Amino acid sequence: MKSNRIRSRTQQGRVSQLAIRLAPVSLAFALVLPSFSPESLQGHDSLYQYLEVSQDSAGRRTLAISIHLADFASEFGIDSNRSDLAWWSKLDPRDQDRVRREAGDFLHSSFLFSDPLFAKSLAASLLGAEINDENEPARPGCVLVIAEIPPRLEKLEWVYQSDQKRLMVILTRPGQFPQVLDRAAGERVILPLPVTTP
Amino acid sequence: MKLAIHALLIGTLLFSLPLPTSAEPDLPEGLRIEYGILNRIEITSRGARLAINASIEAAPDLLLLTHARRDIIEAAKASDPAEVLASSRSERFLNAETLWSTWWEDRFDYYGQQVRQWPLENFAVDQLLPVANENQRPQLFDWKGIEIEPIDTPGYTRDGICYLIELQGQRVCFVGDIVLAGGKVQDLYSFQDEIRPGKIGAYHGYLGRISRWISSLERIAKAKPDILIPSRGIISHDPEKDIRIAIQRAREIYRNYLSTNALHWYFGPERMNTCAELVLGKDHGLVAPKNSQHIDLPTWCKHIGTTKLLLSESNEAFVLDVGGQTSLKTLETLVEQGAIAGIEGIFATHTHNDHTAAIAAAAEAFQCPVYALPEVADVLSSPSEWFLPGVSPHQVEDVIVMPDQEKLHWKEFTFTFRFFPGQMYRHGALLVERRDHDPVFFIGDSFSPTGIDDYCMMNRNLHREDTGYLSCFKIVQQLPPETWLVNQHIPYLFRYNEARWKSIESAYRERIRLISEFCEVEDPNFAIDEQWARFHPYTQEISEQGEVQTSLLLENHATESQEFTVSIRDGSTKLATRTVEIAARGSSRLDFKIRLPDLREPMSVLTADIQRSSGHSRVGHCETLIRLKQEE
Repeated sequence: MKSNRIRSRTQQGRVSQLAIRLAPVSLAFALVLPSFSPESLQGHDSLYQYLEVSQDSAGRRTLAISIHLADFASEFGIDSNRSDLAWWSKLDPRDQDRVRREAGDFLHSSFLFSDPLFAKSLAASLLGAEINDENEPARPGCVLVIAEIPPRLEKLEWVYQSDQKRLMVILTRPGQFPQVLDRAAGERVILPLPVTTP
Repeated sequence: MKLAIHALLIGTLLFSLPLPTSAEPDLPEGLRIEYGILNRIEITSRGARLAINASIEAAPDLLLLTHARRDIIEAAKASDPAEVLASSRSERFLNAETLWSTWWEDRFDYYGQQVRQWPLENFAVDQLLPVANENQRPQLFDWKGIEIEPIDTPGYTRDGICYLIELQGQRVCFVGDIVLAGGKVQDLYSFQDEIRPGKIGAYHGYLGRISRWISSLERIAKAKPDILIPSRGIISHDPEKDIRIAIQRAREIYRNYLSTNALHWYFGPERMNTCAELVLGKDHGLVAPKNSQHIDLPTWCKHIGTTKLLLSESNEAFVLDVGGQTSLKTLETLVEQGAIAGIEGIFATHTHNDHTAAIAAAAEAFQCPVYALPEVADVLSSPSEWFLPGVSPHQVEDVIVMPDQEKLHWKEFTFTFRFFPGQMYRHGALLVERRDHDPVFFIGDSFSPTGIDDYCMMNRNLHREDTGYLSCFKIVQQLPPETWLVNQHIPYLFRYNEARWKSIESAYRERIRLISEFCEVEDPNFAIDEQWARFHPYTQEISEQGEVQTSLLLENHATESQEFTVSIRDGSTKLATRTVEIAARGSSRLDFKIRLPDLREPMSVLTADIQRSSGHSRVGHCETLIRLKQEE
């Protein structure tokens, strides 16, 4: 079981912790709704769409795509004062499902992955997310979709279809500086992946 | 928050400042206006009196609110009306104590970017008028034989409403602050807001409510009023012309803004077109500026979130900004894993939390010094004293203050620190030179490859030759030849060609002229800079009730000297009054020792009424928050 930590500010301005547990499947994706906490709030994070690939010391590779709530088709979350964990916790379960659905719609319309199996796994795994008491810092005001990348893949290739904003691709490997690609809408991106054994 | 109930003597607040008055000829019988800082407007019918925002004589039978900003509510309260009506949009401001109850904490990390002229306490109204949608007929109501048509008019404020009343055959529209005679408005900063259809948040929403304001004005024009009576200034006797001019001026300013804008780099044409269409119409013809020349970062410069890391040949690092735990953790990991030998210094480009939130923690973790320009260091070292966009509460205890143009030699690099009030006033930049590369000017967030980052007026992008973007243009022009620019968010070096520089600067100067025409102030900076008057500190905690020290900082943006008369108030109790003459483009600090025997819960909010000798006045323009020290 893997979990991500996120933080939210309480009424007193202190920091409390809430979390959303990821589905326990290697190819599963999960949704995380981080708050605008003092630690993580980044005023301009909404300027880019982020896609991050990271390899940990055990060689496991994960993909994380953050979808800013303001980018959804509906009016969820454009006001940073609304789209935090408190807002999320008060949402009707049907609205939470709607957020997940919109995140999925956004993801699938914006990232056209060339690997059909990977794209399919993405489509199948946007449903499971539950609140837990552990989590990890993530982008504020965003739905964070995380997936493990299957060992068989040597590269990720996709077309970034969104006309909303630029894409920042970040590749993180142990002991190396993050590699960063800044791409405009409509561009095809080919990202050679680190080998799965460290 | 509970404020004391004060005697509701008409004029307690507003007559404390001199009010110009004049008689208006040819008004319908029964309509009276007394001009002042806030116009007092009354209609008499069947022996009863109706007032708009402020009455001429105490205790009118009915008072109509056009919106619920602090000065309006104070005047309404002083009028002591028997009955009050307001727009349902005003409800949250009328329940201001809820807003204040969390503001002590919420002022940090703030990107809401709204004018916070909240009333100081709750104000009860008798009826909230529902907002009619576009397809509904207006809900008229009758008062003493007079038919009143409320017109929903958000824009200048979030909750604006106007009232159309026919008096002896004249259609009179009471417009509050939405527009002034001559097609002007009081200021531009009131329009900052999110642009929801364009998916632009409030922080990036320059004139974000201007499209709603245009729609509101068009609704007023459609009602064909004969005169407009605003809450400030004189009557408009040609509403159609004044509305047309006002809309035209606003559109010109917005078109100009978009033509020089940094956001074209980040946001796709869909968003930017949506913003343009909302204000300028579908055939706006605006062409987005092209991206300027940009190239990859040199190998000695790494992009980590909003951090730029400069890597020396001996593998030590000097970083610019550490905006959050994610960046800090990445830096710590790089050190742990040996990718860098250590971090020897941190430069804070500006005071937004996405650049500063983890600087204190990073300085502690790496045991390295933090450098900043004086304007930035002030905020880093005492964040609770400031209210600015995105101030992080994390105090940086030791900041090495680097004056403008100071140099520092580090490894094979030469750094020149510059005061660079571009994206925000409290902003620096760093010219980085080394032998094997063209110079690189790290400009924080002040430019992108398409233009300038002037989307948030609360950042204080002053339109003055001696500061703001005009001074940044000069600094960049004086840089060594072939210098590249780099923005903290963007992993490219970029530079404009000469034509682009010229077009940005000439458009920017034209915008200043347009704002001067549009806004009823003696200098355009008063229209874009809400903080021309501000308390310092913004908040303070005192150990016991009694005497409090605070300061009011005043900037005279005008090109002539003028007097500023200031009254400090606790609710409607005047605590102190001072007058000061400030030279053209000068500033002044007024220190006050105030006896405050009755501290309120959860805090006291002191406000300042300020009258400039140019004739411009603001009641309750700015505030400072004071509370008893909280136990840990």
